Amino acid sequence: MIKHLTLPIEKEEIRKLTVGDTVLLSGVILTARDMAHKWLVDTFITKTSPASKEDIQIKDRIIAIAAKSLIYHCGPVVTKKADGKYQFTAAGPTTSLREEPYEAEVIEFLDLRGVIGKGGMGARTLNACQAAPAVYFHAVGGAASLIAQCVTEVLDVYKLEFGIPEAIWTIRVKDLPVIVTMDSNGQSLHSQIRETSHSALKKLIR
Amino acid sequence: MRDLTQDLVELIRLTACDLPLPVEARLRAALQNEEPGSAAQTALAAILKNIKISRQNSTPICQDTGTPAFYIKYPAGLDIQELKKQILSAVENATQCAYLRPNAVDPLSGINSGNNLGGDFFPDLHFQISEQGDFSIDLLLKGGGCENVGRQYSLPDETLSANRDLEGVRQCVLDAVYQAQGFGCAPGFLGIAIGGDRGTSYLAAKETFLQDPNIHHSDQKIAALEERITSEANELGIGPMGFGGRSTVLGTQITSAYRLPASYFVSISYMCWAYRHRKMTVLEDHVIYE
Amino acid sequence: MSPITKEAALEYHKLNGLPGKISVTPTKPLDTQQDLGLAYTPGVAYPVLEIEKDPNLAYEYTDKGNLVAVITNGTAILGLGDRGALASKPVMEGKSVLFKKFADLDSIDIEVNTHDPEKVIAVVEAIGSSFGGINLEDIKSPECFYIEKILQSKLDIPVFHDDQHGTAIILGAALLNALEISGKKIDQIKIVFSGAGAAALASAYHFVKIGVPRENIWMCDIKGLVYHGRKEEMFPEKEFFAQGDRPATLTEVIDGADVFIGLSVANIVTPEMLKRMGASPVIFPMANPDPEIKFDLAREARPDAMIGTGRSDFPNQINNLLGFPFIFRGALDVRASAINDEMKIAASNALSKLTKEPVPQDVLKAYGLEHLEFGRDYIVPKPLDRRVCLWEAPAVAQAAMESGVARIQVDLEDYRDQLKKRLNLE
Repeated sequence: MIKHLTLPIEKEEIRKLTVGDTVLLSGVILTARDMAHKWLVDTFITKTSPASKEDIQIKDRIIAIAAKSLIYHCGPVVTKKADGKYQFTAAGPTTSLREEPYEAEVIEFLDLRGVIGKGGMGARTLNACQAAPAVYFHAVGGAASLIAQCVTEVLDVYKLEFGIPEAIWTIRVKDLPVIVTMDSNGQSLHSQIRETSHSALKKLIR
Repeated sequence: MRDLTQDLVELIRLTACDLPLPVEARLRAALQNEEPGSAAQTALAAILKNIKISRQNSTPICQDTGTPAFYIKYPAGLDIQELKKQILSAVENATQCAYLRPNAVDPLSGINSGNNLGGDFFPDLHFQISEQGDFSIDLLLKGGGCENVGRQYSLPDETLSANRDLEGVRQCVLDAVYQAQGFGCAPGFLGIAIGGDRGTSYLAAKETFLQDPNIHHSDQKIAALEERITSEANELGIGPMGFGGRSTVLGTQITSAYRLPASYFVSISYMCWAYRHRKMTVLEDHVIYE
Repeated sequence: MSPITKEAALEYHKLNGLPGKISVTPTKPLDTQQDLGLAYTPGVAYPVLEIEKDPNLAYEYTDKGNLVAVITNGTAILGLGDRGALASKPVMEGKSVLFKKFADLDSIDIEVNTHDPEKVIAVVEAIGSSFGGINLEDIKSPECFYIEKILQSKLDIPVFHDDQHGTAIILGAALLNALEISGKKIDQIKIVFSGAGAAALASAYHFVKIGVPRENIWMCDIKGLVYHGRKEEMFPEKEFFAQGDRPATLTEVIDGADVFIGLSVANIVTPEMLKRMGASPVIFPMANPDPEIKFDLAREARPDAMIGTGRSDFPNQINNLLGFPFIFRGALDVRASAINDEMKIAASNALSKLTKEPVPQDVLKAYGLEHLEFGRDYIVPKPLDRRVCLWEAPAVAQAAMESGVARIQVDLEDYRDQLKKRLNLE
């Protein structure tokens, strides 16, 4: 079953999603990967790094966009168009598990309704999804050009000093295809597949 | 030697943006095998659509364009220094054209070099002299996702009860595929090396991806093992992206390297569905791409 | 049966001054001004706004839930090949009419005038929501595989290419029964195909799903064996079944086969070839109108065989009519979002089980038979057996509910009663 969802999105809509649902996402989201997560947590949550004035400005802008929306674990390939605006030419997801140490806090801090990525996440994030509520949307790994076409506009970029893949990009997407693999009711397709594949493995190797 | 820089940029563009037809064919067949209405089918349909779009628009098939690994076969007397300069220049050029994503990160400072050049190993260049006077350049692009799920086993392995034989190899490989789950962007391809030292073993495993995926091992016993591993890996049911499904591994290639009596390594290099390998053969006054 | 002549066929299509075979019937009163005001403007605005708020209400206020589109681009019409979209219309109307007659499914035919698979996909994707299900028909291989799969991933209603799966499902049922009679195990039989088109490949893929190891399936087409490295007439879905790396003929490959399936052309199999098959072979030469080997010749060469063809004048007619009307009926009645493998297998199993039931008088009469019992000459139900719907549709509906693709739940007993009423089968 294919569902169309527009962001920002209310909590009740998120609660209705279950593992295995195919969803087409539209609206404004932001990218965030390893360095962005570390920066957010170190600077504003655990506060182990000092927050500069610029940091605070960026944080406020990000919170405004992220609230009731999603972050996307992605390090895009970006070009500049003739009119000076940025364009994503390749935008597939990166492996989410690297953000597991940070994600639960970030979901709460930014009031996210979910995370888009690849490969799923762990128990901490699954619990945070139940509490928030939020879900994990699995994008098709490597479908870089297809997903780039779903990015209709690149609105802004923050922390470019992290490098293009690690910067925080705010983007408008239309009909981005994803599969719910972790829902807000404690279900994870990743755990299910790990279990069934483990039983299968046992049968094949002693 | 003449200036091959533009030809090399074209090699990079082809490799990054135009998936070889035999790989696309395997993905098409895999799509046919998945259940209507399943997440596995959705994933494969998106992958095939993506392949078409990338080819049409010359945009990277996957945004992680990996570590560009060049395997150069060159005739004696060729100015390798000059060729190396041209390759590095082509990589920089291709990065500016957005065929490649800037991927070279200094591990000590954490700073991305921005132009895909970094030290002695980025890009990764392998030079081999050709007795017959051939001149060709293979390019393999392999991203971090699948690189991270490669594994190396040292046999005998107690936890797997795997001994120093082909049965032990089979056990390691299936364990590696299980551990990888969907993280390597399944359905994937397996490159396996039996033997070597820790370094040469991994290198040999990765180099199997330079072979034609449709060619089986010349030793029948090994060819049968390749088939068996592919079929059994699919029985794990991990499926495309780990969503569950019938296609987890699309092909397996095994190679071997002489080893020390005391060591027995089995290295598994996991290639994602975006199996990006292309070859440029340099002739007198033109080049051919495969 | 009188001979089917060109004159008779053309006359039939113009009979009684009515061109074609279908028409559309209103289901609500349209007699008074009041009626018109409700059916059309201004009343119709209300259902419009409701459906906009909740697309599922289209199932309540429109015929969507009982409507199947028969869609083609006319590139593989029966045995006639590519004759174009418009020329295929009589076939498509015929398919629509069969949906209505056998399963009371409303059906309309749509011919898409393009050879470009991406355009076919774009058109069907854009109109998909108007229907409860899409039956793709007569679209040539290999594009048909890709088109069907991409549309399945884009639409939340069943998309089913009958040329592929209809044949596969009926063959699956017949094969299971034949193996039961011969006592052979499904994972130990060698299957050889003559023909590697849509029906053959879909059947091969289906057999793998029901337990035949891929290595036990051998496909031969006009160029002989499908082998690794062959260059002619190859495409990915066919390559999946490549065997060995050397050419071979059907004669060589059929050696020791337990099952022969013909989905190719007439008279290419000889009695000598059949003699080289294994014991109690299963022989299904289904080329239309003349099979790969005539029924009688096959029977003579192998009295121990189970034989089925596409012909109505011989035992074991393997006819898609046993499938598509009832598969769609079951799928649409639970608002299934897809016709998945579980549903297809359930359909096969229902047919297979029905064959073991005692055969009622009206079926015997319809086929001019004295007696019919599960065995070599009766391994699949007769196409005109009216019990098929009552067995198959509920099995498909149940499989849809159990595999999580049904959007409404039905009680199977109630459902069977409803079907009886709907199809006047009391």
